[in-house]
Amino acid sequence: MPEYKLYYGKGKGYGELSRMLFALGELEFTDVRMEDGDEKTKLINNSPYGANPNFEIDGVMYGKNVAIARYVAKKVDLYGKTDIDQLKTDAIVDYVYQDIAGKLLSIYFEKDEEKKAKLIEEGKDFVKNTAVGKLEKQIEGENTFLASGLSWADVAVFNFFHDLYTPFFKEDAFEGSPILKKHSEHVASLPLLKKHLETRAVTEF
Amino acid sequence: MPSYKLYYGKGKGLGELSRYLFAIKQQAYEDIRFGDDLKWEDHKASAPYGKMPFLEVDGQRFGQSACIARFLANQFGLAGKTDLEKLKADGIIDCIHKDILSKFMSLYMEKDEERKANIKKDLITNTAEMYKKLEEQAEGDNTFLKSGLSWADVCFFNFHCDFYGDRFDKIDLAQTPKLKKIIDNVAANQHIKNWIAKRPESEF
Repeated sequence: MPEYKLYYGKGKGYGELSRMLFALGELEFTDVRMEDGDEKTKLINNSPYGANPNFEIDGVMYGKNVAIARYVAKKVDLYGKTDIDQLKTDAIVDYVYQDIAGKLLSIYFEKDEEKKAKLIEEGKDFVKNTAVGKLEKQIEGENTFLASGLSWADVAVFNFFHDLYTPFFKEDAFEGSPILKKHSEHVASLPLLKKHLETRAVTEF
Repeated sequence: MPSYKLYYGKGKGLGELSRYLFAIKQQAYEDIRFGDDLKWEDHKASAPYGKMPFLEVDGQRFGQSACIARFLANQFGLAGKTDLEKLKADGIIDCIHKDILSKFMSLYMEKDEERKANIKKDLITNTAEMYKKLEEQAEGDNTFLKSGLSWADVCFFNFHCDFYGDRFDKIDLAQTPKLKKIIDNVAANQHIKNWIAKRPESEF
């Protein structure tokens, strides 16, 4: 049994998807949550891509949050059973963590207040009027993206909108989407995930 | 045998990584390019994520350029031999596509000259840092993975030759000898050579 260590900061952020997958698979790992400081800076600077999360497997370090989550998804049997299904989940996860999250990040880092306000409106508009529709079309199962059942794509969508989008924009992206609302409720109700949500550390993001 | 159709624009851009993979495997596919004869505007709504490229496999459409390429890499035995190798390769692709190529897009889209100049400066600095990091990731003699050629090598070759190319300050590969060997190895592949010789010319 390999030894897994996930390194991140104190928050949920981009470490949380992997944490949720470990919880759903009841797979043990060491959840290293680092305070800002010299030790964290040193780890990040020495890490494969100079950023957290980082993932240590039997002493070897790997980087990039989605790559790490995909590996964990494979280990807990939540990647999808066929190549085509795996491609579907890959695309959903990248759409969420790259296309949609990218818009949030550009808002977060924008210094100009006027431009920031404009980016916020554009971000919300993109999510509500484009992204939600695209994601709805991807649902093929009963409250799951894959017809074959739960996958990391379901967890990724839940994680991003529940833990990052809603706290950041202070509004529910799925207000106009009964399909995605139901999807979220289903994911949140899974016993192992429910337990994780109830027991995890409380952080803003 | 599945039927493959790759839909992208006239240029290399985000479609070229998949085209290289088809070429290496000599896998037949339809290389469909939007332009005057086939208008993107007419097809945008039916693209899975409203963007190109998208891949049609036996009539089903899939989006997201890196995901399409990963799928093809797995079909063609170019994804890595173990889950750990695949994790490593995935990290390399994400580093190139998500950290750096996304900045190319920002640079391309930015209208304000001052902001554009800042993005360009960041892009050059970040690319240099990325090359240092990628040099450390290389485990094979002339490949990222110990087991041999993978889509990680092709992705990096695509970035270095097609995206970065001659557009910015020249990168001195003497600083990163493993990366130089990786590029040379892909460049020496006969099927890649043949594809480069016959593909349509384009600036991007």
